[in-house]
Amino acid sequence: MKGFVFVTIFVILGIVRCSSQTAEDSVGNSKFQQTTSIGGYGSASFSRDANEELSTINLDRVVLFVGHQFSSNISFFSELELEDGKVSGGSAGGELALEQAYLKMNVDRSKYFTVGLFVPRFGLLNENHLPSQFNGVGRNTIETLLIPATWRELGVGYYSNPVGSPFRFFAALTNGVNSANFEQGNGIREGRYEGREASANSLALWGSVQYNRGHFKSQLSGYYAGSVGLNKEKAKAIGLESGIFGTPVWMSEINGQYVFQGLELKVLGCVLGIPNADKINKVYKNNTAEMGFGGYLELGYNFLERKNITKKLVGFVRYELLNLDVKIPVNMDRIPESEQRNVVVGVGYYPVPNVVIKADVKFVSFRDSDKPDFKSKNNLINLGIGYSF
Amino acid sequence: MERWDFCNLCLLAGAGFLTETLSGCTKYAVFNTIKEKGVARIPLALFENQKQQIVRISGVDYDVAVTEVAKGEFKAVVLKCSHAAFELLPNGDGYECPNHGSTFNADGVPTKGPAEKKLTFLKCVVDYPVLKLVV
Repeated sequence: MKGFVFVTIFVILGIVRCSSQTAEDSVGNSKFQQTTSIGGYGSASFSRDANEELSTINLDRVVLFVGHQFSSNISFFSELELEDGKVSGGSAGGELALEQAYLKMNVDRSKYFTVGLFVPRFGLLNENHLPSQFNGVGRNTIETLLIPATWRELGVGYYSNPVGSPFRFFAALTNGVNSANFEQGNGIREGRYEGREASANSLALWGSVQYNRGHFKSQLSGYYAGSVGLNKEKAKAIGLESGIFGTPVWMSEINGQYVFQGLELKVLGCVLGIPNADKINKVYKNNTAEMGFGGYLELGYNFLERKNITKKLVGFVRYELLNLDVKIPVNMDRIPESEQRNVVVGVGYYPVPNVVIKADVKFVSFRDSDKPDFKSKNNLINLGIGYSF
Repeated sequence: MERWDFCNLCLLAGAGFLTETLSGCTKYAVFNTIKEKGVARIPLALFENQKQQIVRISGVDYDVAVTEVAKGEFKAVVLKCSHAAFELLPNGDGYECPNHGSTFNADGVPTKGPAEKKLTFLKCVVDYPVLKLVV
């Protein structure tokens, strides 16, 4: 728990400094008044699965932002999400959840802490997950299955954006993950707590360095967490290691973006490691792999770049490579869906910057399998709309 | 405490130290100034080598990016996101918000949402040897 003490001291120092600045900085200036802000985003989609010969239509999500500025140095931000249109008591499907709810405490104008439930800086999509910010009807496969999409946890984050420097820094301490809930084919996605009664016996450490130069941006991020939140005695009884970083999970990613005159190039690679996967399998029988890898390359172009700044017509192509079973323990069975090579081709039309109409085709190739009736190739046709404000 | 946990804590402390140390690797510093009778003054000489300066005005909650767009012609944009009041960061030819990912061009016009409104600009008056910002 010394990690918590360490971070708590940092936060207290930050708050003390915030308090000492408030009197001076809040001197009234009509152009800089405190505000309560409301916003949101949402998306709906139609999908046709060629193999299943099945079409579905869904209100994927509706999210409401509420923010409030308490003083020049302390603000609150939140995102409340309703997924799949409806949550009904006792029946499966649908989700009502907080995506974010945190206090932002400025140390100065280029450094701040976030305290609460927040989306850490990891990958390209996690922080920028609004439908108007990514190509394709659905979020890309790598940042859904390997890096969980809108991955939020409870804890303390620290952001440093030094003025004039090409570097930006991020570090955080949050709760860890729960290896009991890992699911084959989903990486660690189902092991997230997402702010709900998380065990604080195990913790997670996040770090990221971003480099910005002109139209180019790249980022290197790391994640290291404990995955057993039981006490020492109970964990020992089932043969798992507990503690802050007991039965660890690590993940690292590197990405780059180049945006210039309508051209947008994105590349990302990510590796996931669970060194004690064999022990997790022995206890929970959830076919946890020791190592997974994923990456994608995406090229997009706005065909209206030279004509109109408010309207956009973005065509894109993305190649995705995912293997969640790069290294597996002896007590695990592979499934073909864990290895995918996908090509996604699509278009997005923005009549105004915050409204998008999308269409794409996803050509999916799974690993070949002896499973009867298993088709290793599939095509998905997707149509969707999205908005943000 | 287990040896491994101790190592991890040392790494955590080391990462924190490194972050702060690297934070000092800036190509130019913030120019601090004060506001007197609604006017903040900055020396024009600052723009000889660097066409964009970040100005911190005492009593104003957000930094101001002042850019010399042509000889003797300046633009001063308040680095406050028009969506949810987050601090903006200069990026490429414009600005970006690290909160919801909005981007703005050099004229303060949103190029990527969710922000919809233009950024706030301060009036610039050249009064050699200083540039006056009307706050």
